[in-house]
Amino acid sequence: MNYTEILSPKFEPETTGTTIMAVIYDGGLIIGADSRTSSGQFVADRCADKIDYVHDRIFCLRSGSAADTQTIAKYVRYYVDAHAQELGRLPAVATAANLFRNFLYEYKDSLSAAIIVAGWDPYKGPQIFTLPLGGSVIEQKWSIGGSGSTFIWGFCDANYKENMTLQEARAFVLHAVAHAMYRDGSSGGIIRLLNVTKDKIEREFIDYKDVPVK
Amino acid sequence: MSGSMYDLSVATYSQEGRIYQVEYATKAVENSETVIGVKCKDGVILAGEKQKFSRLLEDNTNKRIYNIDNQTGMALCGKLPDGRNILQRAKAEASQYQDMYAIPASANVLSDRVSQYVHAYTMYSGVRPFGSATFIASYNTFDGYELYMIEPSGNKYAYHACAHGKGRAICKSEFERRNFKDLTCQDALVYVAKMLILSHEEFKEKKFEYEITWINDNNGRKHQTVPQDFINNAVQQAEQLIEQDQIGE
Repeated sequence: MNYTEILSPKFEPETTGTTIMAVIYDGGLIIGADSRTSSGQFVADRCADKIDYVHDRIFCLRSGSAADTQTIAKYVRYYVDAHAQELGRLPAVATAANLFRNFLYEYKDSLSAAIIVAGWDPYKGPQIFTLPLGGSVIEQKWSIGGSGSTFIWGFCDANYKENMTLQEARAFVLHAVAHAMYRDGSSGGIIRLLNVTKDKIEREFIDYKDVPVK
Repeated sequence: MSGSMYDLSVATYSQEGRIYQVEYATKAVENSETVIGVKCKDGVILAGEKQKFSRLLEDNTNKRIYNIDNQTGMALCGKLPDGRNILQRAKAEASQYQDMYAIPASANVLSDRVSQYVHAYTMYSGVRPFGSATFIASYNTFDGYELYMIEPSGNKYAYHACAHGKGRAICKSEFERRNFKDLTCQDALVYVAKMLILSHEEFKEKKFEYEITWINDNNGRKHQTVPQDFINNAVQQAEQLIEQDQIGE
């Protein structure tokens, strides 16, 4: 037996076996994600950033193939930037979501990517668009995604309230993601939060020792 | 040859730096029936006169003003077939933009793209510039009401009020006399009708039709034809105004 034989089944493409989440609260929206990138059984990155910048107030949460989602995000970033330049003001979240959809639909056979687009725009305020495999777009008040999300549907259904305060929403996202990370083998590491409002964006890093469910 | 042949193609400047074919295209617009665009307090109006060269023509055909999308209208001044070609391009641009970015194209963006198209026809020897000026009127939540005019040269300007065609001088003096920004669309209709009638004065004996559309706060900010009874009313009042003016003189 040689090393190649031992290792080869383990070198699978990196996937963000993931827990991602976004929730609208009163005055903004909050985004949460775990940080594990897996390659089969192997943790390729234990501190990944799955919250990608699209524009000043628009972000996307990546789940599925890391290569696919990073590349699509790169293209959409480019398109949104060119569009915003022409527009002369902040672009609509729906615009970013639609650009993602165009890629996801056109290349559905070759892509493994499920994305949540979340952000604030001056037209409709905070918005969340869920884009599952295949190229559909669903606008929601809250959205969860990735392999870890299957474990927290009940938690989210039971605990989501409309018009939460920032503190309530933050606690909700933090606990939901922590629970998912606890039960899902492909989610884990630390938690990243991002708060998006009209005036600012605020990142927060939750160290492993501070993750509430362990 | 007197023009020393610099006027044969758009691909060559004259020695004074002019492109004669573009100027001739502008002449074609200047000889057209009058088209007017005005921004008011609560909306924007597009208006045009249509001469009826035969009694055999059906009413309300051969339109000059069209929808590009729900909240955008385009009026054509000059050669109608040329204008319709520009219109087709504008419609395609608007729908492509909506498909790509999931929001309607603003008049600014749309007129940018249309003017680039028009301008392309001033650069190649094998083409003739458009003998048509196009007016774009639109509403969006961010910019409010907008009015643009694109000339055969590809020049594009945003206006408070503009006019082109035979009656443009008459309209411009009316624009200077009255601040349309203080009037509602409803009130402005009379003066728009007045401008069209006065523009037509020189060609009295020919029959003509009014074509007026608007986008305003009261019609859901959609580009729509002004109801016929509103037009009839406005025309009646406008005729009275003109009579009073003549007595005053």
